[in-house]
Amino acid sequence: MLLFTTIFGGLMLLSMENRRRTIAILLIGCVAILGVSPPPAQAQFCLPCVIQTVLTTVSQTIGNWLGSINGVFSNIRNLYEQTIWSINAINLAKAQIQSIITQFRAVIQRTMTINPHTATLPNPTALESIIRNRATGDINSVPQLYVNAFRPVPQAGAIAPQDRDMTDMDDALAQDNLMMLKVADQAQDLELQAADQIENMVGNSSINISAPGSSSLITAAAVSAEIKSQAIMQKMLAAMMRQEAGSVAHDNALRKRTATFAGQLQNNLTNVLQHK
Amino acid sequence: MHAGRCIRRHAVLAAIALLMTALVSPRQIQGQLPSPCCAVLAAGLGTINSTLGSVIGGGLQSINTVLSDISNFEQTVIWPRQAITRALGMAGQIQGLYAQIRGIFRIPISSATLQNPKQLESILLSRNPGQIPSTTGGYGAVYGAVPTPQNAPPPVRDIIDITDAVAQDAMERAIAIDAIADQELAAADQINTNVQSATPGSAPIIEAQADAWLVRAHAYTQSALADLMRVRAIDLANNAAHLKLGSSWAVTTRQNVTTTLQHK
Repeated sequence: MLLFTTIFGGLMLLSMENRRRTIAILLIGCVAILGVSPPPAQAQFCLPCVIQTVLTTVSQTIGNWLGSINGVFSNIRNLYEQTIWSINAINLAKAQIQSIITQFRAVIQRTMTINPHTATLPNPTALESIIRNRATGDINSVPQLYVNAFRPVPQAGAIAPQDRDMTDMDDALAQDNLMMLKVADQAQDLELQAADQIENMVGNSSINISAPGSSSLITAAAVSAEIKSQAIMQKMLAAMMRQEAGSVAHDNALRKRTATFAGQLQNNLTNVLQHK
Repeated sequence: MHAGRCIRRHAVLAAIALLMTALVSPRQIQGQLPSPCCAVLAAGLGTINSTLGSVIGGGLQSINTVLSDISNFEQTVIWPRQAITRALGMAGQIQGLYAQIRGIFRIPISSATLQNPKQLESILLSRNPGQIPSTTGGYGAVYGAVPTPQNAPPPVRDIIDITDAVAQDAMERAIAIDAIADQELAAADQINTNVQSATPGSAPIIEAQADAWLVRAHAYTQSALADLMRVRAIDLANNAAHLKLGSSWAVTTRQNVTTTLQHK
Protein backbone atom coordinates (compact mmCIF):
# COMPACT_ATOMS: atom_id res chain seq x y z
CA MET A 1 0.00 0.00 0.00
CA LEU A 2 2.97 2.25 0.71
CA LEU A 3 4.23 1.45 -2.77
CA PHE A 4 0.96 2.44 -4.37
CA THR A 5 0.85 5.67 -2.41
CA THR A 6 4.40 6.53 -3.45
CA ILE A 7 3.71 5.82 -7.13
CA PHE A 8 0.50 7.83 -7.18
CA GLY A 9 2.25 10.60 -5.24
CA GLY A 10 5.00 10.63 -7.90
CA LEU A 11 2.45 10.71 -10.73
CA MET A 12 0.68 13.62 -9.07
CA LEU A 13 3.97 15.51 -8.73
CA LEU A 14 4.68 14.92 -12.39
CA SER A 15 1.25 16.18 -13.32
CA MET A 16 1.24 19.24 -11.10
CA GLU A 17 1.16 21.54 -14.07
CA ASN A 18 -2.18 20.29 -15.20
CA ARG A 19 -4.72 20.72 -12.50
CA ARG A 20 -7.33 18.50 -14.07
CA ARG A 21 -4.87 15.69 -14.53
CA THR A 22 -3.68 15.99 -10.96
CA ILE A 23 -7.25 15.68 -9.71
CA ALA A 24 -7.87 12.68 -11.96
CA ILE A 25 -4.74 10.92 -10.68
CA LEU A 26 -5.73 11.80 -7.13
CA LEU A 27 -9.14 10.25 -7.58
CA ILE A 28 -7.76 7.12 -9.26
CA GLY A 29 -5.13 6.85 -6.53
CA CYS A 30 -7.76 7.05 -3.85
CA VAL A 31 -9.80 4.30 -5.55
CA ALA A 32 -6.67 2.15 -5.94
CA ILE A 33 -5.61 2.62 -2.33
CA LEU A 34 -9.10 1.80 -1.18
CA GLY A 35 -9.02 -1.30 -3.36
CA VAL A 36 -5.73 -2.65 -2.05
CA SER A 37 -6.14 -1.52 1.54
CA PRO A 38 -6.50 -4.52 3.88
CA PRO A 39 -9.84 -5.12 5.57
CA PRO A 40 -10.10 -3.88 9.09
CA ALA A 41 -8.14 -6.09 11.41
CA GLN A 42 -10.24 -8.47 13.54
CA ALA A 43 -9.75 -8.26 17.29
CA GLN A 44 -7.43 -10.83 18.88
CA PHE A 45 -9.25 -14.18 19.83
CA CYS A 46 -7.69 -15.65 23.04
CA LEU A 47 -8.50 -19.38 22.78
CA PRO A 48 -6.69 -20.48 25.97
CA CYS A 49 -8.66 -17.85 27.88
CA VAL A 50 -11.96 -19.21 26.55
CA ILE A 51 -10.99 -22.80 27.36
CA GLN A 52 -9.93 -21.77 30.82
CA THR A 53 -13.29 -20.04 31.33
CA VAL A 54 -15.15 -23.18 30.23
CA LEU A 55 -13.00 -25.30 32.53
CA THR A 56 -13.65 -22.96 35.42
CA THR A 57 -17.39 -23.07 34.73
CA VAL A 58 -17.40 -26.87 34.54
CA SER A 59 -15.20 -27.54 37.54
CA GLN A 60 -16.34 -24.77 39.84
CA THR A 61 -19.88 -23.73 38.96
CA ILE A 62 -21.35 -27.04 37.75
CA GLY A 63 -19.06 -29.10 39.98
CA ASN A 64 -20.08 -27.10 43.01
CA TRP A 65 -23.76 -27.38 42.12
CA LEU A 66 -23.48 -31.14 41.69
CA GLY A 67 -21.65 -31.29 45.00
CA SER A 68 -24.45 -29.33 46.63
CA ILE A 69 -27.15 -31.54 45.08
CA ASN A 70 -25.29 -34.62 46.21
CA GLY A 71 -25.04 -33.11 49.67
CA VAL A 72 -28.80 -32.48 49.77
CA PHE A 73 -29.58 -36.03 48.64
CA SER A 74 -27.14 -37.39 51.19
CA ASN A 75 -28.85 -35.34 53.87
CA ILE A 76 -32.25 -36.67 52.76
CA ARG A 77 -30.90 -40.21 52.90
CA ASN A 78 -29.47 -39.63 56.35
CA LEU A 79 -32.74 -38.03 57.47
CA TYR A 80 -34.70 -41.05 56.21
CA GLU A 81 -32.33 -43.66 57.57
CA GLN A 82 -31.35 -42.06 60.85
CA THR A 83 -34.16 -39.76 61.91
CA ILE A 84 -37.53 -40.55 60.32
CA TRP A 85 -37.38 -44.26 59.59
CA SER A 86 -34.42 -45.33 61.64
CA ILE A 87 -34.22 -49.11 61.64
CA ASN A 88 -33.38 -48.98 65.32
CA ALA A 89 -36.46 -46.87 66.06
CA ILE A 90 -38.66 -49.18 63.97
CA ASN A 91 -37.34 -52.23 65.78
CA LEU A 92 -37.68 -50.46 69.12
CA ALA A 93 -41.32 -49.60 68.40
CA LYS A 94 -42.03 -53.21 67.49
CA ALA A 95 -40.26 -54.42 70.61
CA GLN A 96 -42.32 -52.01 72.69
CA ILE A 97 -45.52 -53.33 71.06
CA GLN A 98 -44.45 -56.89 71.87
CA SER A 99 -43.65 -55.82 75.42
CA ILE A 100 -47.10 -54.31 75.89
CA ILE A 101 -48.68 -57.44 74.41
CA THR A 102 -46.74 -59.62 76.83
CA GLN A 103 -47.42 -57.34 79.76
CA PHE A 104 -51.15 -56.82 79.39
CA ARG A 105 -52.90 -59.14 76.98
CA ALA A 106 -52.72 -62.38 78.92
CA VAL A 107 -53.58 -60.63 82.19
CA ILE A 108 -56.69 -59.05 80.67
CA GLN A 109 -57.70 -62.30 78.99
CA ARG A 110 -57.33 -64.18 82.28
CA THR A 111 -59.37 -61.52 84.04
CA MET A 112 -62.15 -61.80 81.50
CA THR A 113 -62.29 -65.58 81.86
CA ILE A 114 -63.56 -65.06 85.39
CA ASN A 115 -67.23 -65.67 84.69
CA PRO A 116 -69.30 -65.36 87.83
CA HIS A 117 -71.86 -68.09 88.38
CA THR A 118 -73.60 -67.58 91.70
CA ALA A 119 -77.10 -68.98 91.28
CA THR A 120 -77.81 -72.06 93.40
CA LEU A 121 -81.16 -73.46 92.29
CA PRO A 122 -81.65 -75.41 89.03
CA ASN A 123 -83.78 -72.92 87.10
CA PRO A 124 -81.78 -69.81 88.04
CA THR A 125 -78.54 -71.72 87.44
CA ALA A 126 -79.68 -72.71 83.95
CA LEU A 127 -80.70 -69.15 83.11
CA GLU A 128 -77.52 -67.67 84.56
CA SER A 129 -75.46 -70.14 82.57
CA ILE A 130 -77.13 -69.38 79.24
CA ILE A 131 -77.05 -65.62 79.63
CA ARG A 132 -73.35 -65.66 80.45
CA ASN A 133 -71.97 -68.20 78.00
CA ARG A 134 -71.05 -65.59 75.33
CA ALA A 135 -72.52 -67.74 72.55
CA THR A 136 -75.44 -67.20 70.20
CA GLY A 137 -76.07 -70.77 69.09
CA ASP A 138 -78.47 -71.36 71.99
CA ILE A 139 -80.13 -67.94 71.89
CA ASN A 140 -83.58 -69.39 71.21
CA SER A 141 -83.47 -71.28 74.52
CA VAL A 142 -83.37 -68.06 76.52
CA PRO A 143 -87.17 -67.42 76.59
CA GLN A 144 -87.94 -70.86 78.04
CA LEU A 145 -85.20 -70.67 80.68
CA TYR A 146 -86.36 -67.15 81.49
CA VAL A 147 -89.91 -68.38 81.99
CA ASN A 148 -88.63 -71.23 84.15
CA ALA A 149 -86.91 -68.76 86.43
CA PHE A 150 -89.40 -65.87 86.37
CA ARG A 151 -92.62 -67.80 85.62
CA PRO A 152 -94.91 -67.25 82.65
CA VAL A 153 -97.40 -64.46 82.17
CA PRO A 154 -100.59 -65.36 84.11
CA GLN A 155 -103.50 -66.75 82.15
CA ALA A 156 -106.25 -64.38 81.14
CA GLY A 157 -108.71 -64.01 84.00
CA ALA A 158 -106.05 -64.57 86.62
CA ILE A 159 -104.77 -61.01 86.32
CA ALA A 160 -106.10 -57.68 85.10
CA PRO A 161 -105.70 -57.32 81.32
CA GLN A 162 -103.51 -54.24 81.59
CA ASP A 163 -101.31 -55.93 84.17
CA ARG A 164 -101.08 -58.93 81.89
CA ASP A 165 -99.99 -56.75 78.98
CA MET A 166 -97.47 -54.89 81.10
CA THR A 167 -96.09 -58.10 82.54
CA ASP A 168 -95.65 -59.53 79.07
CA MET A 169 -94.02 -56.31 77.87
CA ASP A 170 -91.65 -56.22 80.86
CA ASP A 171 -90.73 -59.84 80.25
CA ALA A 172 -90.23 -59.19 76.53
CA LEU A 173 -87.95 -56.21 77.10
CA ALA A 174 -85.94 -58.11 79.70
CA GLN A 175 -85.65 -61.25 77.55
CA ASP A 176 -84.84 -59.24 74.42
CA ASN A 177 -82.00 -57.58 76.23
CA LEU A 178 -80.71 -60.82 77.69
CA MET A 179 -80.61 -62.25 74.16
CA MET A 180 -79.15 -59.03 72.80
CA LEU A 181 -76.40 -59.24 75.42
CA LYS A 182 -75.47 -62.73 74.24
CA VAL A 183 -75.07 -61.26 70.76
CA ALA A 184 -73.08 -58.34 72.18
CA ASP A 185 -70.86 -60.71 74.18
CA GLN A 186 -69.99 -62.65 71.04
CA ALA A 187 -69.45 -59.42 69.13
CA GLN A 188 -67.04 -58.28 71.83
CA ASP A 189 -65.08 -61.51 71.50
CA LEU A 190 -64.80 -60.97 67.75
CA GLU A 191 -63.76 -57.35 68.31
CA LEU A 192 -61.06 -58.57 70.69
CA GLN A 193 -59.87 -60.97 67.98
CA ALA A 194 -59.68 -58.08 65.52
CA ALA A 195 -57.73 -55.98 68.01
CA ASP A 196 -55.33 -58.86 68.69
CA GLN A 197 -54.77 -59.42 64.97
CA ILE A 198 -54.07 -55.73 64.37
CA GLU A 199 -51.67 -55.57 67.30
CA ASN A 200 -49.91 -58.80 66.30
CA MET A 201 -49.39 -57.54 62.78
CA VAL A 202 -48.02 -54.11 63.65
CA GLY A 203 -45.74 -55.64 66.28
CA ASN A 204 -44.36 -58.33 63.95
CA SER A 205 -40.57 -58.10 63.85
CA SER A 206 -40.34 -58.81 60.09
CA ILE A 207 -40.11 -55.70 57.96
CA ASN A 208 -41.95 -57.65 55.25
CA ILE A 209 -45.00 -57.96 57.51
CA SER A 210 -45.04 -54.66 59.35
CA ALA A 211 -43.35 -51.59 57.89
CA PRO A 212 -43.84 -47.88 58.49
CA GLY A 213 -45.39 -47.52 55.04
CA SER A 214 -47.95 -50.29 55.54
CA SER A 215 -49.12 -49.05 58.94
CA SER A 216 -51.28 -46.34 57.35
CA LEU A 217 -53.34 -49.08 55.69
CA ILE A 218 -53.67 -50.97 58.97
CA THR A 219 -54.60 -47.75 60.76
CA ALA A 220 -57.32 -46.99 58.21
CA ALA A 221 -58.71 -50.51 58.63
CA ALA A 222 -58.55 -50.13 62.42
CA VAL A 223 -60.44 -46.85 62.31
CA SER A 224 -63.19 -48.45 60.22
CA ALA A 225 -63.34 -51.18 62.89
CA GLU A 226 -63.67 -48.45 65.53
CA ILE A 227 -66.70 -47.05 63.72
CA LYS A 228 -68.27 -50.50 63.80
CA SER A 229 -67.48 -50.85 67.49
CA GLN A 230 -69.19 -47.54 68.11
CA ALA A 231 -72.21 -48.77 66.15
CA ILE A 232 -72.35 -51.87 68.36
CA MET A 233 -72.09 -49.65 71.42
CA GLN A 234 -75.02 -47.64 70.10
CA LYS A 235 -77.06 -50.79 69.63
CA MET A 236 -76.39 -51.73 73.25
CA LEU A 237 -77.32 -48.24 74.41
CA ALA A 238 -80.49 -48.40 72.32
CA ALA A 239 -81.38 -51.69 74.03
CA MET A 240 -80.71 -50.15 77.42
CA MET A 241 -82.89 -47.18 76.51
CA ARG A 242 -85.74 -49.52 75.59
CA GLN A 243 -85.35 -51.31 78.88
CA GLU A 244 -85.18 -48.14 80.99
CA ALA A 245 -88.07 -46.60 79.09
CA GLY A 246 -90.10 -49.76 79.67
CA SER A 247 -89.30 -49.65 83.36
CA VAL A 248 -90.32 -45.99 83.66
CA ALA A 249 -93.45 -46.64 81.59
CA HIS A 250 -94.37 -49.52 83.89
CA ASP A 251 -94.03 -47.33 86.99
CA ASN A 252 -96.01 -44.63 85.28
CA ALA A 253 -98.77 -47.06 84.37
CA LEU A 254 -99.06 -48.01 88.04
CA ARG A 255 -99.22 -44.31 88.86
CA LYS A 256 -102.01 -43.86 86.34
CA ARG A 257 -103.92 -46.71 87.84
CA THR A 258 -103.41 -45.47 91.40
CA ALA A 259 -104.62 -42.05 90.35
CA THR A 260 -107.62 -43.55 88.65
CA PHE A 261 -108.43 -45.74 91.66
CA ALA A 262 -108.01 -42.76 93.98
CA GLY A 263 -110.36 -40.70 91.80
CA GLN A 264 -112.90 -43.51 91.71
CA LEU A 265 -112.63 -44.01 95.48
CA GLN A 266 -113.15 -40.32 96.05
CA ASN A 267 -116.23 -40.35 93.82
CA ASN A 268 -117.58 -43.44 95.55
CA LEU A 269 -117.08 -41.97 99.01
CA THR A 270 -118.74 -38.76 97.93
CA ASN A 271 -121.70 -40.73 96.60
CA VAL A 272 -121.98 -42.76 99.82
CA LEU A 273 -121.87 -39.63 102.00
CA GLN A 274 -124.44 -37.91 99.79
CA HIS A 275 -126.81 -40.89 100.12
CA LYS A 276 -126.53 -40.66 103.90
CA MET B 1 13.53 14.81 -20.33
CA HIS B 2 11.70 12.97 -23.02
CA ALA B 3 10.72 10.16 -20.66
CA GLY B 4 9.56 12.59 -18.04
CA ARG B 5 7.47 14.41 -20.63
CA CYS B 6 6.03 11.12 -21.81
CA ILE B 7 5.12 10.08 -18.28
CA ARG B 8 3.59 13.46 -17.57
CA ARG B 9 1.54 13.17 -20.77
CA HIS B 10 0.29 9.62 -19.99
CA ALA B 11 0.08 9.93 -16.19
CA VAL B 12 -3.66 9.29 -16.12
CA LEU B 13 -3.31 6.16 -18.23
CA ALA B 14 -0.49 5.00 -15.97
CA ALA B 15 -2.62 5.62 -12.94
CA ILE B 16 -5.50 3.62 -14.45
CA ALA B 17 -3.13 0.80 -15.34
CA LEU B 18 -1.77 0.85 -11.83
CA LEU B 19 -5.31 0.74 -10.43
CA MET B 20 -6.25 -2.25 -12.57
CA THR B 21 -3.03 -3.99 -11.53
CA ALA B 22 -3.83 -3.38 -7.89
CA LEU B 23 -7.40 -4.63 -8.25
CA VAL B 24 -6.59 -7.83 -10.15
CA SER B 25 -3.47 -8.79 -8.19
CA PRO B 26 -4.06 -11.81 -5.88
CA ARG B 27 -4.55 -11.25 -2.19
CA GLN B 28 -2.53 -12.92 0.49
CA ILE B 29 -4.29 -15.89 2.07
CA GLN B 30 -3.45 -18.00 5.08
CA GLY B 31 -1.69 -21.21 4.23
CA GLN B 32 -2.78 -24.77 5.07
CA LEU B 33 0.04 -25.35 7.47
CA PRO B 34 -1.02 -26.30 11.13
CA SER B 35 -1.64 -23.26 13.21
CA PRO B 36 -0.48 -23.12 16.84
CA CYS B 37 -4.08 -22.14 17.63
CA CYS B 38 -5.37 -25.67 16.74
CA ALA B 39 -2.97 -27.33 19.15
CA VAL B 40 -4.17 -25.10 21.97
CA LEU B 41 -7.78 -25.86 21.01
CA ALA B 42 -7.15 -29.63 20.99
CA ALA B 43 -5.43 -29.52 24.35
CA GLY B 44 -8.24 -27.36 25.74
CA LEU B 45 -10.97 -29.65 24.48
CA GLY B 46 -9.14 -32.65 25.92
CA THR B 47 -8.97 -30.97 29.28
CA ILE B 48 -12.66 -30.03 29.07
CA ASN B 49 -13.47 -33.65 28.24
CA SER B 50 -11.54 -35.03 31.19
CA THR B 51 -13.01 -32.37 33.47
CA LEU B 52 -16.54 -33.22 32.32
CA GLY B 53 -15.81 -36.89 32.98
CA SER B 54 -14.38 -36.37 36.42
CA VAL B 55 -16.37 -33.44 37.77
CA ILE B 56 -19.84 -33.88 36.18
CA GLY B 57 -19.67 -37.63 35.61
CA GLY B 58 -18.30 -38.24 39.10
CA GLY B 59 -20.86 -35.91 40.65
CA LEU B 60 -23.75 -37.55 38.82
CA GLN B 61 -22.47 -40.99 39.81
CA SER B 62 -22.42 -39.95 43.47
CA ILE B 63 -25.96 -38.61 43.17
CA ASN B 64 -27.04 -41.82 41.48
CA THR B 65 -25.52 -43.85 44.30
CA VAL B 66 -27.36 -41.84 46.95
CA LEU B 67 -30.65 -41.98 45.03
CA SER B 68 -30.24 -45.74 44.58
CA ASP B 69 -29.66 -46.07 48.33
CA ILE B 70 -32.79 -44.02 49.03
CA SER B 71 -34.83 -46.05 46.54
CA ASN B 72 -33.61 -49.31 48.02
CA PHE B 73 -34.31 -48.11 51.55
CA GLU B 74 -37.82 -47.03 50.60
CA GLN B 75 -38.57 -50.35 48.91
CA THR B 76 -37.15 -52.61 51.59
CA VAL B 77 -37.69 -50.72 54.84
CA ILE B 78 -40.40 -48.11 54.45
CA TRP B 79 -42.80 -49.53 51.88
CA PRO B 80 -41.93 -53.21 51.29
CA ARG B 81 -44.38 -54.74 48.80
CA GLN B 82 -44.99 -57.81 50.99
CA ALA B 83 -45.87 -55.70 54.04
CA ILE B 84 -48.33 -53.66 51.99
CA THR B 85 -49.95 -56.82 50.65
CA ARG B 86 -50.26 -58.23 54.15
CA ALA B 87 -51.77 -54.99 55.47
CA LEU B 88 -54.38 -55.09 52.70
CA GLY B 89 -55.07 -58.70 53.66
CA MET B 90 -55.50 -57.64 57.29
CA ALA B 91 -58.16 -55.12 56.24
CA GLY B 92 -59.99 -58.00 54.56
CA GLN B 93 -59.73 -60.17 57.67
CA ILE B 94 -61.14 -57.40 59.88
CA GLN B 95 -64.02 -56.97 57.45
CA GLY B 96 -64.67 -60.71 57.74
CA LEU B 97 -64.85 -60.53 61.52
CA TYR B 98 -67.27 -57.62 61.44
CA ALA B 99 -69.38 -59.38 58.81
CA GLN B 100 -69.84 -62.13 61.43
CA ILE B 101 -70.83 -59.51 63.99
CA ARG B 102 -73.38 -58.00 61.61
CA GLY B 103 -74.73 -61.47 61.04
CA ILE B 104 -75.24 -62.25 64.71
CA PHE B 105 -76.90 -58.89 65.29
CA ARG B 106 -79.54 -59.97 62.78
CA ILE B 107 -80.61 -62.93 64.94
CA PRO B 108 -84.27 -62.22 65.85
CA ILE B 109 -84.74 -61.64 69.56
CA SER B 110 -88.44 -60.86 69.93
CA SER B 111 -90.15 -62.67 72.80
CA ALA B 112 -93.45 -60.97 73.66
CA THR B 113 -96.46 -63.31 73.62
CA LEU B 114 -99.60 -61.14 73.85
CA GLN B 115 -100.99 -58.99 71.06
CA ASN B 116 -100.34 -55.48 72.42
CA PRO B 117 -96.86 -56.18 73.77
CA LYS B 118 -96.00 -58.01 70.52
CA GLN B 119 -97.01 -55.02 68.46
CA LEU B 120 -95.02 -52.59 70.60
CA GLU B 121 -92.02 -54.92 70.68
CA SER B 122 -92.01 -55.30 66.89
CA ILE B 123 -91.99 -51.51 66.52
CA LEU B 124 -89.18 -51.13 69.06
CA LEU B 125 -86.99 -53.81 67.45
CA SER B 126 -87.77 -52.78 63.87
CA ARG B 127 -84.60 -50.63 63.36
CA ASN B 128 -86.85 -48.74 60.95
CA PRO B 129 -87.32 -44.98 61.51
CA GLY B 130 -90.52 -45.23 59.45
CA GLN B 131 -92.07 -47.08 62.38
CA ILE B 132 -91.38 -44.30 64.89
CA PRO B 133 -94.81 -42.62 64.47
CA SER B 134 -96.47 -45.94 65.41
CA THR B 135 -94.76 -45.97 68.80
CA THR B 136 -97.35 -43.76 70.49
CA GLY B 137 -100.22 -46.10 69.62
CA GLY B 138 -98.35 -49.22 70.66
CA TYR B 139 -97.18 -47.57 73.87
CA GLY B 140 -100.70 -46.41 74.78
CA ALA B 141 -102.09 -49.90 74.17
CA VAL B 142 -99.70 -51.45 76.69
CA TYR B 143 -99.18 -48.72 79.28
CA GLY B 144 -102.49 -46.84 79.08
CA ALA B 145 -103.29 -43.18 78.63
CA VAL B 146 -102.96 -40.16 80.92
CA PRO B 147 -105.90 -40.23 83.43
CA THR B 148 -108.76 -37.84 82.80
CA PRO B 149 -108.99 -34.66 84.93
CA GLN B 150 -111.85 -36.27 86.88
CA ASN B 151 -109.66 -39.19 87.86
CA ALA B 152 -106.40 -37.45 88.78
CA PRO B 153 -105.36 -34.06 90.15
CA PRO B 154 -103.31 -31.77 87.84
CA PRO B 155 -99.93 -32.44 89.54
CA VAL B 156 -100.33 -36.17 89.09
CA ARG B 157 -101.48 -35.80 85.48
CA ASP B 158 -98.45 -33.61 84.78
CA ILE B 159 -96.06 -36.14 86.24
CA ILE B 160 -97.69 -39.00 84.38
CA ASP B 161 -97.64 -37.11 81.10
CA ILE B 162 -93.99 -36.06 81.27
CA THR B 163 -92.98 -39.57 82.31
CA ASP B 164 -94.89 -41.10 79.40
CA ALA B 165 -93.34 -38.54 77.07
CA VAL B 166 -89.78 -39.27 78.14
CA ALA B 167 -90.34 -43.05 78.02
CA GLN B 168 -91.83 -42.81 74.51
CA ASP B 169 -89.10 -40.42 73.38
CA ALA B 170 -86.48 -42.88 74.56
CA MET B 171 -88.20 -45.74 72.75
CA GLU B 172 -88.41 -43.71 69.55
CA ARG B 173 -84.82 -42.59 69.89
CA ALA B 174 -83.78 -46.22 70.45
CA ILE B 175 -85.33 -47.12 67.06
CA ALA B 176 -83.44 -44.21 65.44
CA ILE B 177 -80.14 -45.13 67.09
CA ASP B 178 -80.54 -48.75 65.95
CA ALA B 179 -81.10 -47.56 62.39
CA ILE B 180 -78.15 -45.16 62.57
CA ALA B 181 -75.94 -47.96 63.90
CA ASP B 182 -76.91 -50.09 60.87
CA GLN B 183 -76.00 -47.21 58.54
CA GLU B 184 -72.67 -46.77 60.32
CA LEU B 185 -71.91 -50.47 59.98
CA ALA B 186 -72.64 -50.27 56.24
CA ALA B 187 -70.51 -47.12 55.83
CA ALA B 188 -67.64 -48.67 57.78
CA ASP B 189 -67.90 -51.74 55.53
CA GLN B 190 -67.53 -49.52 52.47
CA ILE B 191 -64.58 -47.70 54.03
CA ASN B 192 -62.96 -51.04 54.79
CA THR B 193 -63.51 -52.14 51.19
CA ASN B 194 -61.90 -48.89 50.04
CA VAL B 195 -58.90 -49.57 52.27
CA GLN B 196 -58.40 -52.88 50.50
CA SER B 197 -57.82 -51.07 47.20
CA ALA B 198 -55.75 -48.26 48.72
CA THR B 199 -52.04 -47.59 48.71
CA PRO B 200 -49.88 -46.35 51.59
CA GLY B 201 -50.14 -42.88 50.06
CA SER B 202 -53.92 -42.86 49.68
CA ALA B 203 -54.70 -44.71 52.92
CA PRO B 204 -54.38 -41.57 55.10
CA ILE B 205 -57.09 -39.93 52.97
CA ILE B 206 -59.42 -42.86 53.63
CA GLU B 207 -58.37 -42.84 57.26
CA ALA B 208 -59.29 -39.15 57.49
CA GLN B 209 -62.78 -39.97 56.26
CA ALA B 210 -62.98 -42.89 58.68
CA ASP B 211 -61.92 -40.54 61.49
CA ALA B 212 -64.73 -38.19 60.52
CA TRP B 213 -67.17 -41.10 60.69
CA LEU B 214 -65.74 -42.06 64.06
CA VAL B 215 -66.34 -38.55 65.39
CA ARG B 216 -69.90 -38.78 64.04
CA ALA B 217 -70.36 -42.18 65.67
CA HIS B 218 -69.15 -40.81 69.00
CA ALA B 219 -71.72 -38.02 68.68
CA TYR B 220 -74.53 -40.53 68.14
CA THR B 221 -73.31 -42.63 71.05
CA GLN B 222 -73.39 -39.53 73.22
CA SER B 223 -76.87 -38.78 71.91
CA ALA B 224 -78.03 -42.24 72.96
CA LEU B 225 -76.36 -41.82 76.33
CA ALA B 226 -78.09 -38.45 76.72
CA ASP B 227 -81.50 -40.02 76.12
CA LEU B 228 -80.71 -42.73 78.60
CA MET B 229 -79.74 -40.11 81.15
CA ARG B 230 -83.02 -38.29 80.51
CA VAL B 231 -84.95 -41.47 81.28
CA ARG B 232 -82.94 -42.00 84.46
CA ALA B 233 -83.42 -38.36 85.45
CA ILE B 234 -87.18 -38.65 85.04
CA ASP B 235 -87.14 -41.83 87.10
CA LEU B 236 -85.33 -39.99 89.87
CA ALA B 237 -87.68 -37.04 89.52
CA ASN B 238 -90.63 -39.41 89.92
CA ASN B 239 -89.20 -40.72 93.17
CA ALA B 240 -88.88 -37.18 94.45
CA ALA B 241 -92.37 -36.29 93.22
CA HIS B 242 -93.73 -39.33 95.01
CA LEU B 243 -92.39 -37.97 98.32
CA LYS B 244 -93.60 -34.45 97.56
CA LEU B 245 -97.13 -35.55 96.70
CA GLY B 246 -97.18 -37.97 99.64
CA SER B 247 -96.28 -35.24 102.12
CA SER B 248 -98.81 -32.89 100.55
CA TRP B 249 -101.53 -35.49 100.79
CA ALA B 250 -100.51 -36.28 104.39
CA VAL B 251 -100.88 -32.63 105.36
CA THR B 252 -104.26 -32.41 103.64
CA THR B 253 -105.47 -35.60 105.29
CA ARG B 254 -104.35 -34.38 108.72
CA GLN B 255 -106.19 -31.12 108.20
CA ASN B 256 -109.31 -32.97 107.06
CA VAL B 257 -109.19 -35.30 110.06
CA THR B 258 -108.70 -32.35 112.42
CA THR B 259 -111.61 -30.52 110.83
CA THR B 260 -113.84 -33.59 111.10
CA LEU B 261 -112.96 -34.11 114.76
CA GLN B 262 -113.63 -30.45 115.54
CA HIS B 263 -117.11 -30.74 113.94
CA LYS B 264 -117.89 -33.67 116.21
